[in-house]
Amino acid sequence: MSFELNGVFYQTDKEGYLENPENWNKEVAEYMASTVDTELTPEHWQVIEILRDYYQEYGYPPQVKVIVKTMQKRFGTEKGNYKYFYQLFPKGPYLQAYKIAGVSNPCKWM
Amino acid sequence: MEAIQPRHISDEIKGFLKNVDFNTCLTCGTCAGGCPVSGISGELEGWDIRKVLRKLVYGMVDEIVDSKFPWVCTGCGRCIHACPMKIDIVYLMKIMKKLRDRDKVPGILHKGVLKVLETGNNMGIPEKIYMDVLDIVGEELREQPGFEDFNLPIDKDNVDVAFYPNSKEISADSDDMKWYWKIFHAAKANWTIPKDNWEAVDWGIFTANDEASMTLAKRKIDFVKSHNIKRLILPDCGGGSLGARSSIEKWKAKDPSLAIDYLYIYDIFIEYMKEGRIKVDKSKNTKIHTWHDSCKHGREAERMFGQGKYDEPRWLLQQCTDNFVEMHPTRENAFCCGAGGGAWAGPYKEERNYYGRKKAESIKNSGAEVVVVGCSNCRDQILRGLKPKYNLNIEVKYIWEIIAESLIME
Repeated sequence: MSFELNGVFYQTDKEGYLENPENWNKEVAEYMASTVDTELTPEHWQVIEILRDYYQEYGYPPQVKVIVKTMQKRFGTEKGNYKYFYQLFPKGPYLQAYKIAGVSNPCKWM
Repeated sequence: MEAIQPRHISDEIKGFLKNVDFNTCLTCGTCAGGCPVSGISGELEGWDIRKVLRKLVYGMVDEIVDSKFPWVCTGCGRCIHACPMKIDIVYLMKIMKKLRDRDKVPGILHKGVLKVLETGNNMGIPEKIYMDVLDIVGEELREQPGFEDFNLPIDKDNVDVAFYPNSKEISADSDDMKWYWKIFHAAKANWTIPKDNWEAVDWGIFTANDEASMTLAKRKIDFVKSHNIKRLILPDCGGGSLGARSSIEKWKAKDPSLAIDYLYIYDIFIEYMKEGRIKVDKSKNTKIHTWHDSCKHGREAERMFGQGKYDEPRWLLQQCTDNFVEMHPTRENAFCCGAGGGAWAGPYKEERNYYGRKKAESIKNSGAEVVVVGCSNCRDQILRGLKPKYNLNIEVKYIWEIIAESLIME
């Protein structure tokens, strides 16, 4: 499976995750968000940035607990809690946040 | 019409099959009668284990190896338990899996084996994320009354027991670890978990990769020996416990200096209760509870090692509740939930849920409101597979969840 943005083709797996996370960019994030009924706000981007940072540094996306903890450190407890996270991504980290951030879902068989 | 001609069988396959004596098969079909796969529809329609055995007698090995049958079989051992001639069908299905080219192993199972060999866990979770998750879960636990001074012991020397997490707990169900940790903390246990090679479970056993199982067991032996740890707690995962235990025994047979002491998770909690190190409050569990026997802790452990863990979890559960009922059939006759042998992580969801229909019936008929389990695969299958599929009005809990939630903290 694949989709096209501005003349570039991006491969996805059968569940719609970006095949190669290195090909991710902001346009891809906007497109992926549209496939999971999400309109990206600056608050969404703060979470996506954490996901991308972790992925770039460790080659692996952070677990939801780690995302929430990092949010807490960066933006305080008002944004560093589960309720806030799930308000932004009601479908959950794997179905929504990971997909938009273009990282593969290591938990899809769980 | 052409007569059926036996296919050419290579020496390698003959070597594997020489351990199985088909001449003793009475073709009675008792194996198929007790096997939940019988009656399956779809690609395997018309197949059952008796027919598979007859095909093998005719030399149709490739047909079995290329089919999904060995991967739908959960290795629950109900067939051999019922077989009057005790033909080792579980072993035979393992050989059929072994003969499958590694790049054709269904789903992500072989990928997980490669990952654990390379990184120390099935999902390739980096050390940083593992340590971050452990830190955060520990911090959350310290916020609960009675656990303010909890500290997770990682890579400790000279402790009583070593305990392994699994990658599912690190990647998704991290809160589940708190139940174990609470019990260890309440018992003032001298315990540790490893920093490296921390994966509890053994997908080598799911893909019939004996070399991988041996490597994983050797890592556990090395950890226990190098840290001078008294005993290893076998993984809660049924397959993980069976894989670790049988491979540890094989290492011991090869080299007696590699022998280590091990015990099941039930045994350590029984010790803590009998020594009065933990106390539980029965009044917290008034609903009707039943126990689901993991095949690999029960029937298969009994067949391979002479004793199944039937009484131990029931004793523990009955310390936590006065409201206990048995399912029927139970203990060595119990039905598999359908997730064993790697089926939970495998791609054949429909077959897995079909397999579990017998267990769903047993649960419904028991009238229980809470199904208690001691294996993470069984738990996921009953909670996330069978409960929605068969509209079961139940809660599914781990035995250590019930113990932890009933602890009397002094």
